[in-house]
Amino acid sequence: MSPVLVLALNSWVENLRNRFFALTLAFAGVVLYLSMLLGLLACDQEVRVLLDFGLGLIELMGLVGAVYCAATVVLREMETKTVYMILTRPVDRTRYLLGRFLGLMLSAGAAMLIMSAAHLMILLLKGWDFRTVYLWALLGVFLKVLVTASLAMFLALLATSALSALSITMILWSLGHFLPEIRLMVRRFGSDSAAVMAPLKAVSWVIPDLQLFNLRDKLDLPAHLSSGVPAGSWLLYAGCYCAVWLAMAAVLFRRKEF
Amino acid sequence: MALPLGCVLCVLLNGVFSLRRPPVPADPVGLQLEESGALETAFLFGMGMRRLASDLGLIRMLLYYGGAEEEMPGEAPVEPAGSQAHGHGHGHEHRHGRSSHYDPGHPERPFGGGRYPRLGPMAMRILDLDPSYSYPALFAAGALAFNLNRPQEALWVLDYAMKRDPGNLRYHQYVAAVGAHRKGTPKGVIGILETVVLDPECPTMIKNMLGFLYFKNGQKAKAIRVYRQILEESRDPSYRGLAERMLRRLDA
Repeated sequence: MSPVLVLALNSWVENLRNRFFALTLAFAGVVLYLSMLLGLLACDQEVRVLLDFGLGLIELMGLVGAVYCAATVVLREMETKTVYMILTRPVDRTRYLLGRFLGLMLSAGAAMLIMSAAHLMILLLKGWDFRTVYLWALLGVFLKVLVTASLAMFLALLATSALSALSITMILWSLGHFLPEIRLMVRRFGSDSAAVMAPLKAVSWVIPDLQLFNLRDKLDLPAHLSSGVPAGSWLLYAGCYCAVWLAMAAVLFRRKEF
Repeated sequence: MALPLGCVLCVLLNGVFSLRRPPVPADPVGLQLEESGALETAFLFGMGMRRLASDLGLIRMLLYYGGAEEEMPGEAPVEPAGSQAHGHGHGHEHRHGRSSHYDPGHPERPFGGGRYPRLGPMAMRILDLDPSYSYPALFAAGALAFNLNRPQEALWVLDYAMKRDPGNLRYHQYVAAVGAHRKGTPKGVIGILETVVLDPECPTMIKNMLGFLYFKNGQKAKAIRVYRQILEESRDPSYRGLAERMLRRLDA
């Protein structure tokens, strides 16, 4: 088996054993239950509220777990010196990083699958008619989490502080959802106050366009506003974005002296 | 070196994919937030959860309309009953809050009357968040037209909704129903509501209204059918309770 795969599986098992991961899932269970209570308040719209709360929750829990792992995994191994045990073997640093990221992908995917299974069960019990758009929305959520996790991994190596990496990642996550609005703002006011808008414009071209994957928020959009699910371009965009930041993280990691 | 290089690559990537990005769903500059939920809405926007923000807006609207009404300072007093009523018997308004409890001795009194001045604006704010979400607009328009006897406000809400989702035929049906209600033609209202209630998205309140109109028109069998449907399908316990009481009254 390739060292990348071994590292990925090892990372996955480690994450599954991690107390933080179990706590995230337990918390998700509690919040799913709370969303059922909230759904009761929505009367006729109970199923819609359950659907939206569930998908939102899956995303948030997946994000918290993945970003936390991405920001801490390498730094923790550097701190505890475990990284030496791996790097003294014939595994180069890029492969080590890739393996860790794949492990994180598996962990986030598994957690999201468990949560979505519970969510689907609740929805079906409440009389929801299954729609394939749910699966597409889930794919979008997963890709958003991966893109953000790759950024977190890069930022952790750049800042060498998990807390800073986490904070910056969450800011970028939020900005990534405001991207269409930021670009609209730049278009509207860019000609009058070009100097003020210039940094915002620059940022808008660097941060990930998370609204691109946000099908969860467009499940019932009118036909003239919605388009088909561009899964191919989602995968391409997410793949390229992750590749860019993982490559940059690898550059930083190769330069690190232990 | 890594950071600038990464940024340059991302600029290229975003440049290519910006051509494929879908349009902004609603004009964010025109977006108005409800004062009470502005922070929560902004947070959910930042998390990319507009639908969730609109769901919370709906829950807030239902709680507002479901709760006892307090008279707001400086608010115009409500016109006495009958000044705007059109003879359907469900245009009755109460000066001192909503008649949230059904009175079996007076079935002509509406279930859900009152003033509720923020009902229409609350529905419009939800439409700002999610233009495709028709339920809040239909609910608010139905309540404004049939329970609160303010059909003009109902039409404003429906017009606002139609501008955001012009292809939604439900709004056109509601406009027709509100129009018939204004003209004071119960049979016309019944005819339109019969089509409206076939829609699975139809608020229980409208079904209840149809049942009540059947009851008033002496169409007992049809009223029983509607109330039974409410009893079986509605998730709203208050309307289920009301349907039970009406069925008892109809000896069904």
